[in-house]
Amino acid sequence: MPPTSVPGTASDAIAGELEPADDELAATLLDLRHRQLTMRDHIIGQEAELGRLRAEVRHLRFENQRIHEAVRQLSAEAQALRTENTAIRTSTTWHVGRVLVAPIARVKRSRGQVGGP
Amino acid sequence: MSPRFSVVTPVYEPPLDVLQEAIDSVRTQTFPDWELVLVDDRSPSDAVRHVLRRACAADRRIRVIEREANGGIVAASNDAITAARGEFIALLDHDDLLTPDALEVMARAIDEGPEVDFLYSDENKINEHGSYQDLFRKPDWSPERLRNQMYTGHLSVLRTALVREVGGFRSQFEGSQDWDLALRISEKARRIVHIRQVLYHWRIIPGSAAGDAVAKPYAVEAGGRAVQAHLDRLGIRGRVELSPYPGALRIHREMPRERRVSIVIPTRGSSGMVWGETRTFVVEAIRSALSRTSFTNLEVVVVYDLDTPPHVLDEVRGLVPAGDLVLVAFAKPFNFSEKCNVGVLASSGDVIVLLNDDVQIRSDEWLTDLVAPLEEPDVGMTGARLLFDDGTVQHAGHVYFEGNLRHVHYGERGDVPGIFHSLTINRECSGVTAACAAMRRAVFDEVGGLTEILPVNFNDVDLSLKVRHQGYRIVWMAHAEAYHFESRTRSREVNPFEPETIESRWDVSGADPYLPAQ
Repeated sequence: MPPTSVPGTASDAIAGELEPADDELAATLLDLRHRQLTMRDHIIGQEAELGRLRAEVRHLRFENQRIHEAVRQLSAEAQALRTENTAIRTSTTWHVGRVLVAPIARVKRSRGQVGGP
Repeated sequence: MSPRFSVVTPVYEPPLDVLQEAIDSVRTQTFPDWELVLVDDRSPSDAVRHVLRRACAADRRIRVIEREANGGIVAASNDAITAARGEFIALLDHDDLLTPDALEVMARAIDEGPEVDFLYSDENKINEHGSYQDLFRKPDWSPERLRNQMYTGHLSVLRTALVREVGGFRSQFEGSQDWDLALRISEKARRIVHIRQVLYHWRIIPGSAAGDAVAKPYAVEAGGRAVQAHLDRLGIRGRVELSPYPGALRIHREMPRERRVSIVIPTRGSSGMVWGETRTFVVEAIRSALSRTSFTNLEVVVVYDLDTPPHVLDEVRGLVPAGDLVLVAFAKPFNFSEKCNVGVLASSGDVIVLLNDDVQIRSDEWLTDLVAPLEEPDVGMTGARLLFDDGTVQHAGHVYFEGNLRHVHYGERGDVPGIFHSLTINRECSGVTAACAAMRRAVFDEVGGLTEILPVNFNDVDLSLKVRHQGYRIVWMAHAEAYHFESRTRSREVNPFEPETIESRWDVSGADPYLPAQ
């Protein structure tokens, strides 16, 4: 219920003085409520951005781990192949084979030389 | 030890070859921890029982129950549920097929979320030639959609204890007993998971529901009753009506009369040609909005630029009773978001309707249709069905996928039901346009209104994402209809900073949860 006033009395004059102040107060209040609203928007926006970035970091960490694991596996495979290669090169079979194919290899090499037959 | 899954299959006189294929589709599952409970509902043909007995003898995980009298699908299914020993029940019809990995995929999803009580997958249909068709990529859990359409369908996997707690299938809903069960389960389920993968092939047989939704009219009617019972249980004031489109329903909700609605309309009082006649947009928007509703506890808040012609404001004053009209002068450079926010701050309603001035309401009781779902506390925002002046679709919900921010069904015919009835049923969606949207004041305040850092475009996308970020559902209301003369009032030029702002705040790089097929 709004306050009532009797026309032509002192209360009228006081009300007249208060009205601009009320308007100003109402405008300030409205402005503050507006700021509060936009502030909430900014907070939620920042939260959302933070959440998105955290998710991106999680994803990148996961990718990083995955790549590290792939590199580790490939290194292990390479090492195993190196070991296998060394084992082959030190085997009797490989040495015998090498002696057998050596003449053919020599012919092939000489054919590839500049000025050769 | 009980198996993870009991595949439950009521059997009544199917073609023998398709029955065998259904059984085989379970036996060839890559996940081994299952039992298959086959209940013969006294099929007339002994050959059916012979197939079942042979299957039972071939695999110790298969159990057969032979009913002494025919009792219908509900009775047979309930017998199977009573006999089931699995932690979860998977529903398989006697002529359909599971994909080989169906149970494996379901088991993985259950392991990832121990609180899950109800899972459903995408599905397609298999025709008489063995070809697949009608791929249905379903939305993630959408309670409003389930009230309008039995979309969860196949493959449904339900926690056995919960199925027993709710009393299994009910005979009074025969024909739509699965819809009734899904609704009752959804009311109690702790978590519902959608598997974005086809795990079920629904066989089209002449006369079956897969082949023709009108083949069983009693089923449609039973579906309507099941949804009505669901609304009554939840205390949602509304009545269910059968839709002209088989398999779809329409819900007429009621709005409490004490709820006050504020319609907030930003304008600059512009005019333009529509259907060969010049109109002042805001005047026609208000006129149609008020004439198309019987709801009276409302106010109209018009936020107008200072260059708005005075006669326009006079016309507005002539349309709205003085006590229900708030005119707010806006003296700053154009910022749609700020104008809406200022209008909401000047309003007094419990519910806010944001309405562009370039709309014309088309459907009766649009306001109740749009606003009433907000009575459900987890609905944060609703949006309307908007059509261009030529009747094509302007807005049927937003879809956000792989960085794209779009209106779904944009520019398509507005007089057709759309794929899987998507243009005729209320359904959850990722976002709605602020051209005609409703929110409770509390939710609008909670999310900070429309972001003023996006003065022209995508502010409604951001608003929608904020609403969902806070855990609310957004529902597109198919029967709250308006024309939107969008292109007539401003250009659709998009500044690169606008989508960039969205992408800096939100991750919209994945699939849309509600329209994954886009």
